Amino acid sequence: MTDYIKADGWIDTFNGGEGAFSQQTYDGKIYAVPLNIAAACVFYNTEMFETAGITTMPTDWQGLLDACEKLQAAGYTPLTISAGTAWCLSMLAGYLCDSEGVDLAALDAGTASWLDSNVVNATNKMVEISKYFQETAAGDTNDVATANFYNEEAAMLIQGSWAIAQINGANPDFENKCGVFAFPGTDGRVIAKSDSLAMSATTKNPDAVIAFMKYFTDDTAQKYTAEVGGKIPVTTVEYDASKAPAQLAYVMDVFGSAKSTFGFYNESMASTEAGSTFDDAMVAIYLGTPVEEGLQTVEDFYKNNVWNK
Amino acid sequence: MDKLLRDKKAIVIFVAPAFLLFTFVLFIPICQSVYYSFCNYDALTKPEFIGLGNYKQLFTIDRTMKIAFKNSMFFLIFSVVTQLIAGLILAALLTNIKKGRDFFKNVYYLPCVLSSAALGLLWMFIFTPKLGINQVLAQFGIKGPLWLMDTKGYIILPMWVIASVSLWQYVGQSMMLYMAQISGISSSLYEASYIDGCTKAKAFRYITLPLIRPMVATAMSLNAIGSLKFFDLIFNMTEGGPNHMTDVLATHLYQQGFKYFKYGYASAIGTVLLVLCLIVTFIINKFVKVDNYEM
Repeated sequence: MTDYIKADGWIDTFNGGEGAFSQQTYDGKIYAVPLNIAAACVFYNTEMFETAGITTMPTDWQGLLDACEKLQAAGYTPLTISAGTAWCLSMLAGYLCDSEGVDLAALDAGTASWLDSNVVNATNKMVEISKYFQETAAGDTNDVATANFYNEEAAMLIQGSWAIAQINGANPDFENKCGVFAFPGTDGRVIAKSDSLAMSATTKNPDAVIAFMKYFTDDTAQKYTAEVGGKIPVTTVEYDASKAPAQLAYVMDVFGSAKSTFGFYNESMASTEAGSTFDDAMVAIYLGTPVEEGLQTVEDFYKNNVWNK
Repeated sequence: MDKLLRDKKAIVIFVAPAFLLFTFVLFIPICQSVYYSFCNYDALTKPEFIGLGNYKQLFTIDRTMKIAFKNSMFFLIFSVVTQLIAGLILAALLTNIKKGRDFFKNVYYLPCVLSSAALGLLWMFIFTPKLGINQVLAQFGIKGPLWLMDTKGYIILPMWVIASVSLWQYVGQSMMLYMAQISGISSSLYEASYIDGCTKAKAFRYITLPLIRPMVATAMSLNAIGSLKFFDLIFNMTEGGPNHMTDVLATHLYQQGFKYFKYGYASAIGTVLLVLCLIVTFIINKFVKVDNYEM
């Protein structure tokens, strides 16, 4: 789609120009148009944090564990997460792997191993923090885990900013109690994800497709994306912050101060199946499989399906 | 009738619909699938013949296949045994009661006609720790297990749960088959046996059971094939998780074929499933002795 995007100044409407297409670019060619950006953050209940005596947001791993400990001491469930919906747990694992310097490209190339110490350390951290999860995390779906948060049964939720609309929609009163901070200890790296539209290379009506796509990136749609959807717009559109959900401003802060972004771990691997294998291994480890044994399943998958191809 | 059977045109007209349907909907796709099972095929590019490569991977490398095979075998044994026993008991009880027979018959048969997808979701909600049965147990101070997520043991708890739900859903079908056969037994046989001093239990053992044996073989075959290709409840209750621990052959096939687009590999699983169905049907028909009596 590169030629279409660069024609008639369409690309200039995007925030960051060509940089807005980094996740849609492969081999120097643009394959899709992003419609919004969502960042994975830590949503927290400001009242619970206040009651637990947490005044500054955690910025490193130990800070996060300390906050969990204080929340637990105050009688709250520190963290709600879904292991029933594997990608939710995997998103946490992705952050931990990235903060330990795990290099997915090296793993894909076979120059690193899933049993390397940095992967083991990241996974051990996941096990360490899992003692602060809600009791039912193993069986809770993503929706149930999110509901635990907006129903004020847990103090923190690690989730993408797409959840803002769900949180505020289900419990409008919770909006002013909901804060957001960046996942700690990642050296300014944030997981970001876009919804995108792609066009068939063989379509007979490319102009109609492009015109349709432009509806999604024009000012009206992008304002709606921010003000109603609570998602970060991809264009330079000015939106009314007072109309937008309060959390969007916090997410924008997190996103704006990020040094760099990276994709969902399971979506950034050699194949969809590789991503699922990683997700499943993380759930298995959370459920009690020893760390090395769980990671061995990912290692075996890569040996049989990625490194020998 | 003889005239009709001599009319070749009539024979062709009557046989053609079933023949065409069987050929195009069943036989040709099965042959295609068997061929694809020897290929590396992703549906987007042409199939590439790789011989026994898929089968080699399936039986020597694929960890999920081992779990799926074990679970399918468990499901097969559990379903065949429990549906035989529960179906027979229900059929025997319902044929012996006069009041409320139709009511209970409908109650037991009802789950069979309901959508498995809807039932799967319903039971998934019931066993979800936050929503269902565990909340009821918590009222009595009991901490319920993770019904659909526990991974301890050789046959894990979620498999027992799903198998029990499947028994609940399909026992009505076995019951109906047995009831149909039992109601065909002449009452004079029972009357004669009672005159000779036979108890109800003995009449069941020596009259009912031998006479419904052909139906036992049929019901067992249906249950066995049904449980080998079992998919919907598992997919809706656990999607094969956690970590493939509740995968059966059909869910493994689905994931490989429709999630990862490995159609060649999925076809190999399908072929294994087909062969297993044939073997199981052969074994049941060979070992369940059927004598024909005039009733």
